[in-house]
Amino acid sequence: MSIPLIKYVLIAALRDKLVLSLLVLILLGSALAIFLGSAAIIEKDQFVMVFTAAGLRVVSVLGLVLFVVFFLRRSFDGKDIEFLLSRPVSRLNIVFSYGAAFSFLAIVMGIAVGLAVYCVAPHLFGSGHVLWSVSIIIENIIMVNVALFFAMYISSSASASLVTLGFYVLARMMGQLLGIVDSNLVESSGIYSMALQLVSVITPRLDLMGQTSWLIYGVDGGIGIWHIFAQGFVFSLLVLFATSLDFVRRQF
Amino acid sequence: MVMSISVPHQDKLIKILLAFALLLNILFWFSVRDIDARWTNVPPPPNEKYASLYGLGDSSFSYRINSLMLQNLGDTGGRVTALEDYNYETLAQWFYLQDRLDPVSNFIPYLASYYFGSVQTPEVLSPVLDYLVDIGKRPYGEKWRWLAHGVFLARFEMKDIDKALEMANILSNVENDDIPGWARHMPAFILNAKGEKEAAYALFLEILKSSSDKMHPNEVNATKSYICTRILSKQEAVQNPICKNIY
Repeated sequence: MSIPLIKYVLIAALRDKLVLSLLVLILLGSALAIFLGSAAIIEKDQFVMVFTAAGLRVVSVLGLVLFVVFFLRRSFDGKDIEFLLSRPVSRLNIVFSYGAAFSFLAIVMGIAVGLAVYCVAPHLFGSGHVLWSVSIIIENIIMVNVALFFAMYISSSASASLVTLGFYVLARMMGQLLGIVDSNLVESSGIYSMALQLVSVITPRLDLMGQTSWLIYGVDGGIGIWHIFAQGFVFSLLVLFATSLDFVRRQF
Repeated sequence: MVMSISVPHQDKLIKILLAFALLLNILFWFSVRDIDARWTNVPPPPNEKYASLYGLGDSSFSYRINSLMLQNLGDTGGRVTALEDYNYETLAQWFYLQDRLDPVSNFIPYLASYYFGSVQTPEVLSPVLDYLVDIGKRPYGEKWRWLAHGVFLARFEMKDIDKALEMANILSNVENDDIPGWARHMPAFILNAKGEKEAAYALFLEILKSSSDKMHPNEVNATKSYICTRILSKQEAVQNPICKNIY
């Protein structure tokens, strides 16, 4: 990894006002969640916390994905990538440096979201809150690496963003979809079921991460912190190597 | 076509077309202005297998979204709906679905008992009472309170003493050490209300014999007072040794 390259991406993020925009979105999202949650007749704090957590989770992923995709496509269109390749930097170095820089941004956003959720109901803080925040950081890291992958493969910014967000929705719903396959509602050995099972092999189980029930009732013992770290590690590795494969073969 | 027209004519033509488009919009507005969102009663709940899809796989988020929807159901878009117009069978299905999503929260039991329980036509409450029984017989937390409230609804709103007694018997047998004496004694209260004073007296006497050492002195006194003032007649109370210090 190259430290100057990482700095270059982080400066671009600051220049694009990504951090500022997302902080404003976090404030607005929290305010909206407080407004909606306060309408509940009882358990107002629980409503506020769940709405804040679930809303900001999506907002942070959306912001990060859009930044990664548009930054990368702009780098290709503005010949920045070609300029970097003319320097003594290997292609693998570029991919992993970009991945590290985006992951750093993902960590910052995850911490900011975790703090916002803490601030809306500090008296509900517990071990579940820590696990939730860590899982959101890992989820953000996974998604920026997925965005990096699709932005490398797909030349249109809009298409790459939509595909990445579609992948996010699929990953969030994978538990439900597999549940349908495992139920008696469909034939588990049919072609669609088999196709879904195949897709699920290379799809992270984001439905197991960032469960808002942890924030209210604490950790239930089903998913541990090591499971979350392991998922983040194995899937980020897969996506970064897949990105590298395309980038190393690419002709400029 | 537009390119062959001179610029002043193009300007004039676009203004006419713009005015025409605006006129079409106004006409369209007249055709849809009186169509408001309609109340189609309680919608059927989704299958529990897909219910958490509403929260993108987060069941707790789905629970909270659905809860707020149920709280505001029928009272949105400038419309207020009387509780008696709700389909209580479908409502109860929603309650059970919500229970699958979050069995710990007390929001839906609260909504079912205090909000939907205040319906103008209490005879529709039957599915809600069944739901409160299922929730209230759970041995953890303060779930028994929903069953106790269900007994109240059956006894005083539905005026169905048999149903109230049936529920009170379930309440008295809930395996929860934190249930207070008054809830455990609920069958005796209902028997008394039913006119079965001898049965109520026997039950209270048994409670005092078997549990008075575990009860708070105030609760023992309250039980004795209830026996002497509400179950026994004045003449019976005077002769009864339990009522010695009361009369």
